[in-house]
Amino acid sequence: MTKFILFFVIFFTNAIGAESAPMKKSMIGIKYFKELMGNVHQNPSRYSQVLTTISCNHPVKVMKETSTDGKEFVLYGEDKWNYVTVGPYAGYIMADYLTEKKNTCFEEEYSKYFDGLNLDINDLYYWARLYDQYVQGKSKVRQ
Amino acid sequence: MMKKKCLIALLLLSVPFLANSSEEAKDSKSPHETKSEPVKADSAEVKTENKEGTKELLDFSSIKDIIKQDGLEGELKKKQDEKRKFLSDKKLKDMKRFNIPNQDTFWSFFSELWLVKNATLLKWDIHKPDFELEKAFTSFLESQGHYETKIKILLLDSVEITHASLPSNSDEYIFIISLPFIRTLDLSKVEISLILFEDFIRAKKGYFKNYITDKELDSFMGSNFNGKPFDKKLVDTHLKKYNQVLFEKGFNFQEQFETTKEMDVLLKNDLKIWNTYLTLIEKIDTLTKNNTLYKKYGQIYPSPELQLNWLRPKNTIL
Repeated sequence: MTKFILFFVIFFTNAIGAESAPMKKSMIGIKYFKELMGNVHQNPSRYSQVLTTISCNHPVKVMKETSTDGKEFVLYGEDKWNYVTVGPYAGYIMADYLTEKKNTCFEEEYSKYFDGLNLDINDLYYWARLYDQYVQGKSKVRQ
Repeated sequence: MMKKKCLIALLLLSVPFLANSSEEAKDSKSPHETKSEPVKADSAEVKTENKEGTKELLDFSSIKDIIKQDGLEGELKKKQDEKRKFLSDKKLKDMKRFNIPNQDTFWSFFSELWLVKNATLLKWDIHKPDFELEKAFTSFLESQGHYETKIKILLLDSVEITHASLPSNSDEYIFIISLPFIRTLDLSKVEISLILFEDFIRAKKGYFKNYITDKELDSFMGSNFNGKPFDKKLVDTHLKKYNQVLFEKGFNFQEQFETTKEMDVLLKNDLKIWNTYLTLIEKIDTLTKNNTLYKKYGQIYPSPELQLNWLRPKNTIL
């Protein structure tokens, strides 16, 4: 009986140890945010706590996580989210909103028009939230 | 003895000679030293004369041909042209900053601005279930032959607006649909897709855009306000027009007839879908007649009852 208990204790300790082993994080590249405003979330969910808000063409470091058994993770939550670092923050951002190259941003191209609208901090917050809340898609020709 | 006397005599004779020779040596040095200064002065004068002479020779016209051969004039012209181009480019770039987006880029931003400004009224910043509407609707669009169509769907927690397609850029469509409306009618993904498709047709026909656009906005789009104050009032006025369309005025009978008829034609290829559409309109008709929250629906989309009449085949007596 004692052996049996000991076996279970050792087994579960190892299992918990394996789970809690920290994933190795490494940068895979820099990408640019393509929408007007957007949020970096604590978890890969649109309702997760917002860590910071970024604007168009803001560069983010896209990271990958490697588990102890060599498995690599780049996309999270139904392949919709990238793990990124933005300044001092490390969080998740929708992968569809990131591009490899810099974008033509509306607020840069029409900067005086954008300034003229006098958007306050509340408006910019809601603009970032809007891109959290949108459900987006694109119809395609399927073979 | 004789030898000694001879040596003394020679020495005595040589003293005055040596003295003269040392004087002569001194003399021979001094005339040179004293003469050297005037010689130097003389040479300087020659040089200045020479310099003056060369100054006279350095006439621009005489070396103009050489400069031309060196390509310095061309280089100067090139530099001047570069500077002129840089300044004109900078001026143009500064001017471009005052551009107002044109028809192709104006609408999506403007509609999103309206959504942002009315966030609290529309209540779209809510935690909602993931219906995977985007997947259902894109596959519906594909089944109807609409490819490469980008869609954005926003769910509202409000009954003020049931559903609509907001004016957007030519490459995308923005849809808003009420979550309480979906729940009250217990709509399926296909039924929601049909409602969105109806809005898609309205957007393609440009009804909403036509309501918002007037002469003022038309001339405002694609213009440049450099040197003029920004017309914020015009923006605010046209944002209010969104409210008029979506909360009060809605679409007219003609537009509703055209939309329903197009839906009828497009969906008849698949009778199952067509029947679902008919059932959906019946459900909406019942809802608007019985639920006071949706009384305004018929005002915005006139009217489900008429739509049913337009859709149902007429009983012709042979």
